[in-house]
Amino acid sequence: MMQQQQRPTNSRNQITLRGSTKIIVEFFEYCINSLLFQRGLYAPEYFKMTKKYGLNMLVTNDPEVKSHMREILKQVEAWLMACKVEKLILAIKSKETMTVLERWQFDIHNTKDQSSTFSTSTKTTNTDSFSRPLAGAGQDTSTTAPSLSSPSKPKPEKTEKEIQTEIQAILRQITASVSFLPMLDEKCTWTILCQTEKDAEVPATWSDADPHLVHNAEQVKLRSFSTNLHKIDALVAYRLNDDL
Amino acid sequence: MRSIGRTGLYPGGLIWRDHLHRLTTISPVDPLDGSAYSQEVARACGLDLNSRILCFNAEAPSLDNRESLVDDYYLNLLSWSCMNQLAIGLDKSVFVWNADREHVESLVTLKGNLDSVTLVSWADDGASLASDVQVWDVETRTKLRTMSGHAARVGVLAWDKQIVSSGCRDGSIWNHDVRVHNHKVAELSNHTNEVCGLTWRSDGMQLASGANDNIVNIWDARSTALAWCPWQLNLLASGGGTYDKQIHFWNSTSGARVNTLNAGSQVTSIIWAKEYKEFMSSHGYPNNNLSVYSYPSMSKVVDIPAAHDSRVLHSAVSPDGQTVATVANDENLKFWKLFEKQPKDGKGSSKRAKLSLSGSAGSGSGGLLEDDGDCGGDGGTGGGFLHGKSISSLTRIR
Repeated sequence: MMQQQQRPTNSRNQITLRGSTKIIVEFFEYCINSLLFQRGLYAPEYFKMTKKYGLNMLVTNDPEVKSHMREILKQVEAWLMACKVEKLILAIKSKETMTVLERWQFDIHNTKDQSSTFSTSTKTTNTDSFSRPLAGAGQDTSTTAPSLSSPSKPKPEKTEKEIQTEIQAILRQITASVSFLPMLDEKCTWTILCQTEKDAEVPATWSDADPHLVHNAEQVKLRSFSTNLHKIDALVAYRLNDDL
Repeated sequence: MRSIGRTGLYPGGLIWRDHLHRLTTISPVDPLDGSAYSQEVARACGLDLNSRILCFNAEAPSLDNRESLVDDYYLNLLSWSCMNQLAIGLDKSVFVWNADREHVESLVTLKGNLDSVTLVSWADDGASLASDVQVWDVETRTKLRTMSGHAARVGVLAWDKQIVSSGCRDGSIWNHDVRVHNHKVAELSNHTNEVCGLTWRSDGMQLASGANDNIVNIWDARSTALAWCPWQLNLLASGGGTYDKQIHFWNSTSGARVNTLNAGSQVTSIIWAKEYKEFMSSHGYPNNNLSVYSYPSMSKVVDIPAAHDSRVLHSAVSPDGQTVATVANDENLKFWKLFEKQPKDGKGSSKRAKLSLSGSAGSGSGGLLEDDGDCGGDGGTGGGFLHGKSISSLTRIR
């Protein structure tokens, strides 16, 4: 716990942080866009197809939605750079009742910090160790990258290719999840929430909110991906059928 | 035990579904251990007591109520240009679809509590697009000008080169000249209800208009001769074109035609006298004449044949109502003292008019009136201040 406040200080870590932040923000952008399309938040004509991560991704071409998302991600990026953001949540709500129907949660772990917290060999934290937090119950190790093995051994830098492959896998899974998610048969709107540390700098455009939890929810843990600095866990919560 | 927000969300513990199939259940830890429990639940629920949940304030854009076609037959929200670009007005936005490139671009979105776009219409050159009574350059996506003034919504619009005719809900049709500051060059008023169809003949000679009052009008473009009677507010005189050759008098309140006069040739303009119960009409081929009639007797008081070498294009009256200026393609601007006030001392003759045209020519590039002197007479001083134009003036002696 004593090393929990450790932040990347040297220039190399700064580069890693910047690069990692860029990858994550980009992932959020494509992922949110993809969800807005798949969950029918906007009509298909507001999206255009583009190649990314070796996949056909649908990205909005509506200027208003674009700028809205840019505003959000700009701040997420700032928080990532300051290592202040813990979760990003996309809540899908009924337009009429404002009930949260679906909640996509992305946990952002700073793997450097976590290694010091959870790893048994805490002395290695200044190396590029990628210990995996073992706290998350029910996590399936086989879903994550092969590079995550013994925490005590310094691991080689993860290549961009490897990261892209992981992102591809998680996006594929999100796309596939439409098959088990309940239909959103009412008009819906969406909100982005961020869970930050208490001392994070908060611009006036953001304000405290309730966590937008889904009542009577079923949760499905999705795949993860990690960069050399961050690990992203994905989770979707959705409303169980009211009859049940 | 601290509240972690909405507890009891996951009765019987939290169910994780791993890989979408395998189920793992976490049992709640010993409830007696309050802090450990709340921490566990908080972590399991993805809540951190030392964190803040922040929400982006701005609401996510809603595209539902936007960009839908307004369901109104009397609007004209689709227009295809000669450059193969299709413009469509959707609610408050105008989109341009380039059919060659198959590319859509948003041109403008009206801001504020305005009504939605009521029409789009391409100019003949395919470069300018009018929407409402705004003119846009589509290439640079800039607004060239706004020509406001209509009292109600403008549902239809037609281009003829630089002239834009706009039909309004109140039944009026205005002709706007996009090049000049005072854009309104004519008002065509015959409809009593919303103008819903408006189109120029391809040669720009005639404008057809249809309206909700179940009347279709054919306007002769050359006879934008319309004038309101100064002493009878609801009386409108309209001059007919080459084929019509009539001057019609309309009661604008009832919409009824109250009188008709055969003028013998195309009527190019009408001006009412202020001082007298008379009006002047200017004409085209064959006589290119000016005529003064008394109203309502319709007797011709004065006729000035060959007032210009070609048809009299425009006329205007001086602010004092005494002098009428006319201009024609013969490059002459002429001033006519048609409605000169009678002197207060009663010296003026009330006999049949004796005409006098006093010529005073500017140094023109031709087009000088050769017959200026023919009419002779007392000298009005007409010219001199307009360079490069011939100016004549005629005084009608009462």
